[in-house]
Amino acid sequence: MKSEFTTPCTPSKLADIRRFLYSTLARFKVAEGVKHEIVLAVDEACANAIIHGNNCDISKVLRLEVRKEERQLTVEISDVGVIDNNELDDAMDKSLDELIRERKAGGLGLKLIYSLMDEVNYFARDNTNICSLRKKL
Amino acid sequence: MEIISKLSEDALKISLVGELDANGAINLDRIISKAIADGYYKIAVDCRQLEYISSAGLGVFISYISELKSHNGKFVFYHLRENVESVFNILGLQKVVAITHDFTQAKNQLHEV
Repeated sequence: MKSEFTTPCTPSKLADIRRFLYSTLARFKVAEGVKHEIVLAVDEACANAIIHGNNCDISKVLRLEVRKEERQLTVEISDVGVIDNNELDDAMDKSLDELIRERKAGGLGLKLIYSLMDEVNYFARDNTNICSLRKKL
Repeated sequence: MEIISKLSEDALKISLVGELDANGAINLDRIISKAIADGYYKIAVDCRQLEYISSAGLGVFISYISELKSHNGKFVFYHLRENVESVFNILGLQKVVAITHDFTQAKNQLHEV
């Protein structure tokens, strides 16, 4: 089973992305609790791609592909923005206490993604950035 | 959407309604920044009608924790739905902010600074 969604790179479309995911995951008969975890993780990954990777450039496009295989669900988010791997690493390394002290909140989304999904991969294919998120069902 | 009500000279209630994601976080940031500039350092956050929160929404609160603390203030969250509370728990926020069951407990907590 496969479902696709394409949207301009603007944060105002995040609600549409979540609605697409909820309806797709319901159609794929994914359990309620798992459904919420997947939606939250994908919302975080899309927000990162839209805001940090594409600077909210509405002329750029974000594409989602959701695939359900036997016992796992994969969401691939693709875009043509710029990924800074050092920035990703720095964000992940900060503790909550450090973020509070520095009055910043970057990196929390990545922490959520890694906590909620079983496999997270960032890579490039055909000049496109792919964020692949996998959850065992 | 956020609904603001004054509780006392230095305390405020913010009721969050609907979904708080990276898009809504910008407005929330403006509201909290203005509240602090106006001298409100004790902020009760009513989450009864909050259906969804992402890290960007929580990030706004995190970025003001130190400032409130430096003025003997704090955030107290109450009436959290299960899916919202689970986001707090995954990020460990329950260890650094007060979470209570209802408004009465939240008001008491605000004055226990």
